Amino acid sequence: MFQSMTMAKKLVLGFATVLVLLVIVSVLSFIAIDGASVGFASYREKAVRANRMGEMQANMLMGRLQVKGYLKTHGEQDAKSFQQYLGITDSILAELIAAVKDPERLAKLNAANSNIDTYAKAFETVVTHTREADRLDSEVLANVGREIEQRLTKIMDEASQQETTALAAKTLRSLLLARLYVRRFIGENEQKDVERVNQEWAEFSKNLSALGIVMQDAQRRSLLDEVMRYKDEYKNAFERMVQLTVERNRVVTETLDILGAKFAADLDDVKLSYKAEQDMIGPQVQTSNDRAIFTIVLLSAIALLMGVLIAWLIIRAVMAQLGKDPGVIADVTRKVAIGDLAIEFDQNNLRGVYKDMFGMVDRLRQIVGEVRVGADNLSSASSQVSSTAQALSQGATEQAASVEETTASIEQLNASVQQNTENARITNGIAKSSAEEARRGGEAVKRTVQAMKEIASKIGLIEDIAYKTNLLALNAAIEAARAGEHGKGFTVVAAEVRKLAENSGVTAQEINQLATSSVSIAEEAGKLLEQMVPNIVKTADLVEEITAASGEQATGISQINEAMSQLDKATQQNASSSEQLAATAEELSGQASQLQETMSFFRTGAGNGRTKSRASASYAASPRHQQQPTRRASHVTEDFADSSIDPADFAHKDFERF
Amino acid sequence: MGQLVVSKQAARSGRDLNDEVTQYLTFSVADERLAMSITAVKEIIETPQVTRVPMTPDYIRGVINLRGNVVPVVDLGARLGRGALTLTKRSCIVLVEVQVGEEDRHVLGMLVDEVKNILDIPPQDVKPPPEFGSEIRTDFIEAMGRVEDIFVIILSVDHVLSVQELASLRHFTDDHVADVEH
Repeated sequence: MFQSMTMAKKLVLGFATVLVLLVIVSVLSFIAIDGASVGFASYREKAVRANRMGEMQANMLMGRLQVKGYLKTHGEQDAKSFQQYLGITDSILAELIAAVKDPERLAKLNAANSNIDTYAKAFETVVTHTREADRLDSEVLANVGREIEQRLTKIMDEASQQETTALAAKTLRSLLLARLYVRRFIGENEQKDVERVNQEWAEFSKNLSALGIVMQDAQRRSLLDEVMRYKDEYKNAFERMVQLTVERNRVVTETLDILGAKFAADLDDVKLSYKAEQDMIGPQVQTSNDRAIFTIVLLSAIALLMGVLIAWLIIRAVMAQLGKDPGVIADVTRKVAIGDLAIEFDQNNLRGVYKDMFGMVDRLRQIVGEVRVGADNLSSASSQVSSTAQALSQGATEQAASVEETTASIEQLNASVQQNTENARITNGIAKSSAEEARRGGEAVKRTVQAMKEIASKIGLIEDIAYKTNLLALNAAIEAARAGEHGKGFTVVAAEVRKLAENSGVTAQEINQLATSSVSIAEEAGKLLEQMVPNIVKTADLVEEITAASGEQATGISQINEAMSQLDKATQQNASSSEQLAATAEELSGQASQLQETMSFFRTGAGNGRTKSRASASYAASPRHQQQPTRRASHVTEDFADSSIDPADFAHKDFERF
Repeated sequence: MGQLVVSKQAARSGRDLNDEVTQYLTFSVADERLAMSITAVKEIIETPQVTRVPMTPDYIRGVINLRGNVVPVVDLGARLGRGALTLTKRSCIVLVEVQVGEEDRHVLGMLVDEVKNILDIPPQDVKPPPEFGSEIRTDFIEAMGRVEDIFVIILSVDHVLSVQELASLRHFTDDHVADVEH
């Protein structure tokens, strides 16, 4: 199958196979690299997210640290920093929420987001409460406490009575203790401090009431009233502060600590899931890359091998088709193009196109030889045509004269045909009447025959009578003889009767014979007449046909006349045509020599064909054309004998050599 | 015995005919011309219908009805060894009277091809039969008659119609002959 394909098909098939393999390798490579790229992109995305998550986590932790710090220091700086970190965290989180598609993660991130929002709000509350508490502490408690202390101190200093002074001191002490515990509550936020404060405050209140009862001095009394007024204010402020602090602490413990841990854990979960995914994708991509490399290397090796094999096959097939290097074939073609047919072929490697080239050159050599011979023949034939054309011209002129003579003769012929027609008509009438008469004659003969036959039968009767008479005479003679002497006379009579009977018998027989012969003659005459009738009828018919034929002849002769005039024209034309023919023959001769000239372009390596053709052309021009074919044939054979390589013998020689 | 009688009769008739011209009836049988003495002939008739008789020899042609009497017919051709004659328009039966023994006389018919005529042959022209050379048995021949340089065989009727055959025929001719006599 491979051998029978064209070279283009073979090449296309070979290259197609290699290209298909290349495409397969490319596709596989593309798929492998694309897979790796996708894996890598995924891996990178995960890494970026994990990094972002880490960044967010750091910010978030920093925020929480600021919260813790704030709770410790109550500094505005910390609150501001927290807001800053929260902002960064929120932005990163929003970014991640927008980017992440995994629902679980998204849920976690959303939860974290809401938790952070809650956390921030809770922190706001905490800050508000803290500020309020701080304000109460710094504005109310400190001022009011100092006022109360100053009054009590003044009271104590001014009191004259020992008892009052002691009580005032005692009151001051309670107050100071209360204030100490307040300060301590502010520092520690302990419930027991509050109780101590309340306890001290109750002591203080009791001491103050007792003081009130004791003192009578109006000045001091007014101081004490002021103290009493301040005391309520202080107490309210403190309670308000406690309330705020408790509330703050509750928010811190119930919201901030829980939520902070929760969203930290959520975010950490998300981060860890990214990390786990990264850990999973990394080796997968690695494995698939390894496999792709192996496949590509294997396929490349196969493609290389197949490419080499196909190349070898194509080269083999092409060489089988060409047979020789294209350069050699081109050389042969070039030689043929310049008319050189004497080419040496490598006889050992005749195959493919090279073999066909060999066949072509061989065939060309033969054809060139044949064409040369043909050109020679043509040359001789053209001169022959020329002389023939001249003879033709002369013949045409003679023909014209003959045609005129013929026309005159046909006129005469026409007259005689008319005469014939008339005669035939008359003859026809005569023949018809003759036929009728012959028929009647036949009938008469028939009647005659009938009569003759009747006569013959009648004569037979007479004969019988004669015989019987004879018998009677014999019997009479016998009787007479038996009568003896008496019968003598009777015997004579009987003898006479018998003689008469015999005579009549003989005569009857003669008549019978005559009649019989007459019958046969008459019958023959009848037969002849009967035969005559159809002959005469036929003659009449024939004469009629002759009449018709004569008419046709007259028509024919007029047609002949017409034809003769046409013939005359044709003869004239023939004369001119034959002259043209002579001219054409001349031209033909010139073209034949030109053809010989052209054919001398080919060198067959079989001697010089041109001189030969010239020689044969001169033969053709010679007046002895009759001998020419044989002469030329011998000439050709001579040429072949002379030639170093005979074209017709060429292949034969080669075969012998191998 | 019959033979003896016939020869006597022949001798007597020969003696009777010595001094006068005897008439002979000539006829042809199978292209041979034969003659017989006219005295033996009784009548010549044209051939009527012949009735064949079974168990008879070939030369007995059969019997005919002659005016009411049965007459046997001898085919002369068969009798003379020339084969049975074919009947033609000219075939005739010559009735002859034959004497058998002292008293008996029979009428017999002889079938011939054609009856020719009656010849007068003088006694000096009647020659005795030849010893050899004739195709016919010599006892059938009575004599040779010379007529214008041609010899005509004169048949001996009694020999031709021999006694034994006649005797064998007697039983159906007897009565009628007797009737004729009376």
